[in-house]
Amino acid sequence: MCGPPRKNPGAEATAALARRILKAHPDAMILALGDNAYNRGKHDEYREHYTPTWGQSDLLGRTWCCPGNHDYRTAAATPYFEYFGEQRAGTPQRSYYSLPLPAAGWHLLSLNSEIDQDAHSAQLQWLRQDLAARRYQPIVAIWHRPRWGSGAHRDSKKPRWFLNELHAARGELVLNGHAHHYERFAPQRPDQIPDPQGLRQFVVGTGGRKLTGRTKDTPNSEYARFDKFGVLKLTLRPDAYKWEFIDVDDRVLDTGEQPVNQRGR
Amino acid sequence: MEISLTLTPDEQHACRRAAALLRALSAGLREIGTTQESEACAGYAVTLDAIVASGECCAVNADGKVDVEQAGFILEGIRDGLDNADLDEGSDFVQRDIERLNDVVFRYNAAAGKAAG
Repeated sequence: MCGPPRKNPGAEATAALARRILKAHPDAMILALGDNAYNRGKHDEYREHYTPTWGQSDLLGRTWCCPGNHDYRTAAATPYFEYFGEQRAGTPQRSYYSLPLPAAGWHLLSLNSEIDQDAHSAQLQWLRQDLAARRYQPIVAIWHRPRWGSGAHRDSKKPRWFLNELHAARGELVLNGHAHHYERFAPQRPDQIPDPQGLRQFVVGTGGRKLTGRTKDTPNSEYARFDKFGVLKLTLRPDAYKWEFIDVDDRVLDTGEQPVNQRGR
Repeated sequence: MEISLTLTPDEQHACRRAAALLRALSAGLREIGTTQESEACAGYAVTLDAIVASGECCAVNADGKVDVEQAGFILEGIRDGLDNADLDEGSDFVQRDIERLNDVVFRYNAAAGKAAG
């Protein structure tokens, strides 16, 4: 999201917006969805571009993240892992983690879409174990590369492995970046069949990098914006979640609320 | 960081086809005077050619991995351009190659992460 201003014109304004939201909700978490420092996620790019905006201590101290493809343009994404630290990013060797969110009663998963993720991968084995052992039922998962998207890059098949596991565990929300636009999907099954009790996916690639336009129409896409920098504010409660996509002028462009999944209860 | 990767036949074919597209694109860009992008595409093609020439087992370094990823992104543009009523079979064909290139990238990243320890 951050980099030289010519190609990353929105980073300063979205960081300021995040700060305003955080002031109103000091316990809120920031979830950074990868590609935080362009172009190669190097130490000096984090220092020169991320630190002055999203990396200020008040924001950084509340940030958890997942790695993006640009973070992996350094060997093993080492600067990314060193910048955010093991508690908030994992390590090059184990680049995925989970976190209980006791106040909300949710379970947060940070997965890595930039490494092996198929059935026999270490990551998927870990995911199965983590889901089986979790304390809270509603699940929100973050990773970089979206399964579905109507903008640049379009769909990625690989994350279907994540979706299969999350759907089986009655997950609620998936948050992705990678494509530089905002998009909200209706709850759906991993095979793209609409299902009110399926996973709802958001693409939130609006943190600062130059925005890109629509390249196709994707089934089950309910709302998309290709022209506004902004952040997605999520309010998680044990029984429901609320979303608001807020642009840098504090306008709420997309909002809604949904009870958590009752499947199998 | 140099990583030794084993490529499937599909991945090798994808690299070969991507290199062919990138060489053609590079020639076109050179012809219209877009020098920097032409040279970049030619460079990605050279990397892919080297991977194909290595056969089943190849050594890829971090820059080579970025070249493979960039090749995939450029193929996304070709895929999107072909995605219309008359040419969409070609679009699907390119999409399959993009997925195979991404497989190589993900495998490199995973191996580099392990090696970083």
